[in-house]
Amino acid sequence: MLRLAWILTGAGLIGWPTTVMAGDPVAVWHADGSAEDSSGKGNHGAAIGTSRFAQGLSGQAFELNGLDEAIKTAIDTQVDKANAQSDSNSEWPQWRGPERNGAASFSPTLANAWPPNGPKKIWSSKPVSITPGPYAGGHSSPVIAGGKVYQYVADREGRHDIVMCLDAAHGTTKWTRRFEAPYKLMHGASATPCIVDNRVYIMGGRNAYCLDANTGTTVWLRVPLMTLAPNFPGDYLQEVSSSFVVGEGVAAVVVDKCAGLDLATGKTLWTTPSPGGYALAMTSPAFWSHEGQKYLIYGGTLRMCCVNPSNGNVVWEVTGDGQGGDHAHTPVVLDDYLICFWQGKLGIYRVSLDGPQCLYEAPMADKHSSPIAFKNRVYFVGCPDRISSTAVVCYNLETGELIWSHSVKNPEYSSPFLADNKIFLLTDQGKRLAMLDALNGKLLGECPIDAKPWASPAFAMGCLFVRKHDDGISCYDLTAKNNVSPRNKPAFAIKASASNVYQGMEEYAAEQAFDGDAGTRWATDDGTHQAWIAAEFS
Amino acid sequence: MVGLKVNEASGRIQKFKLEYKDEGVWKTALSGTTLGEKYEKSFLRATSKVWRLNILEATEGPTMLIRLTHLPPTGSGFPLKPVMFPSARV
Repeated sequence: MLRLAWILTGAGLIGWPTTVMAGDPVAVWHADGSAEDSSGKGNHGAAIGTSRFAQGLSGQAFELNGLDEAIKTAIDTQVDKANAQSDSNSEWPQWRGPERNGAASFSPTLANAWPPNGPKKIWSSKPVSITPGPYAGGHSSPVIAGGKVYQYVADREGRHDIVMCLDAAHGTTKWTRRFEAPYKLMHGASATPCIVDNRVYIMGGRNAYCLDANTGTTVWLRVPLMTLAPNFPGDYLQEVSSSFVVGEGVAAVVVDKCAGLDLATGKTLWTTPSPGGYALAMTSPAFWSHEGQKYLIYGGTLRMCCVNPSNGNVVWEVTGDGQGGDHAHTPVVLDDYLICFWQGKLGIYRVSLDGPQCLYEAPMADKHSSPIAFKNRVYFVGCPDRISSTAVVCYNLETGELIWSHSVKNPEYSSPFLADNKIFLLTDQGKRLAMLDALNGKLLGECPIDAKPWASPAFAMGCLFVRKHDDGISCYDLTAKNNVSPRNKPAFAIKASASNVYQGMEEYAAEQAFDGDAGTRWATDDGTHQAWIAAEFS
Repeated sequence: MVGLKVNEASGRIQKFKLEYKDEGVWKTALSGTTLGEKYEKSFLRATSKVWRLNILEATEGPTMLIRLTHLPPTGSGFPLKPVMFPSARV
């Protein structure tokens, strides 16, 4: 990751380029009479307009007129790419987040607790018009990339796949696409979009789509990608809920078999054996990186496979007895650890090219939710045998030790996420949002919320994105700056007063200074030179 | 512990007192001139729960902005709360 900034010194003087970087600089320009790169990488600059130099903070500096003069370099694209990569790590561009492990790579400081009604809602988008019916809309989750929110909605009764794109800052619609699609009116069709290199990869109920992320223009369609498979145990599995994972030149998805599609054309490059059971249409593959090569891992009740995505070769395969639960979750890979369900147990495995070695396993009733793996911990919503009710559990990834568990009333199938050492999850069929301390499992906050059952929340730039019952999206601010912590709340004024309030308006009253809302304030009349504001704290 | 954070970014406050109420009487905890952007003061032994920022002299200006925050006991601070003074509107 690289950040490159210029220090502006006076009118039109550009001084020493300040670089803050994780690795080697891509270029160094001393601006001492030339725009040559002294890093040895040959990224020399070229003057646009007059080439002048002036005294800088250290040695000389470029002198530009601030209008049409510039120093052009060949590394603009590299810098943009590095910045874009950084941005994508702050967003949630695919199912289970940027690293597909359920955790935010970067997060601002989040509030330690919420006011009674929950975190501040920033916006709520308009409802999506679909035909009412059982499981209407499916359970796909929102993703965020490039400052936009993407959502797939399965209009079953209306026989359409809907893909929409919203502005992440305001919730306004950027574009919407509707495609005719077959449905069986069951509760599949819940795949989550994957955004990579300005493309939206979406697995609908049966069809697969690749769209331009900015315009929604079709890049390719696979209609249908999945036909009815003889392995399918029931009607409800005739629609796919597997979410694309994209990398190594392929878009991979589990549609009975695992299929690798060509990114440019959507053509099937290879297929590998079905994981079996529910997983054959509901689980999603994950990437495992090993010695510079990426491999795909997916699993179900019949089979766990590791596949080379470059050619579809099966690196290893473990077969099961077909028992042990629904296997609708997505396995998580962290370094060489694999966390997944296998034969009715939540297992922690060490993966090598020879296969998965089980390190620890815990009996666990599968609740469809996908695990979180972050640093040296695994978090999961499930039913361990030593805990009577469903709980969020936390295990040490290296020792398998149960670190904490937190009982959850009325859990649902959506998956939690981790950000800023906090676990966020929906409960009670999407009617409530809970926040736990990831260190000890302590409940930090709980509040009502309008969320679509089974659709998972997403997190980007300190904001929570939730799919609503009406299939629109709501965005909430989770950051500390706009939310009041109850740990701090006793310090807030219970009575506030001021000598003067602007035109006596309530919105500028003294209380506004202490309500914890950065959007309100105390103000006085024009011409005020003396004033006081007082507060009585609890 | 009682503490106060003030962010008076515009620099218009010229003279102020931070006061607390003791048995019905305002007493001065401290007095000063300018506050600046990162003024922070804690009173570890303070017991009063009633406090007042008394701005005794300020130059007029529509953009004066102060941020006033009561510090929590943890000392970690909660988000700065903007307060407009005087006559500043958004």
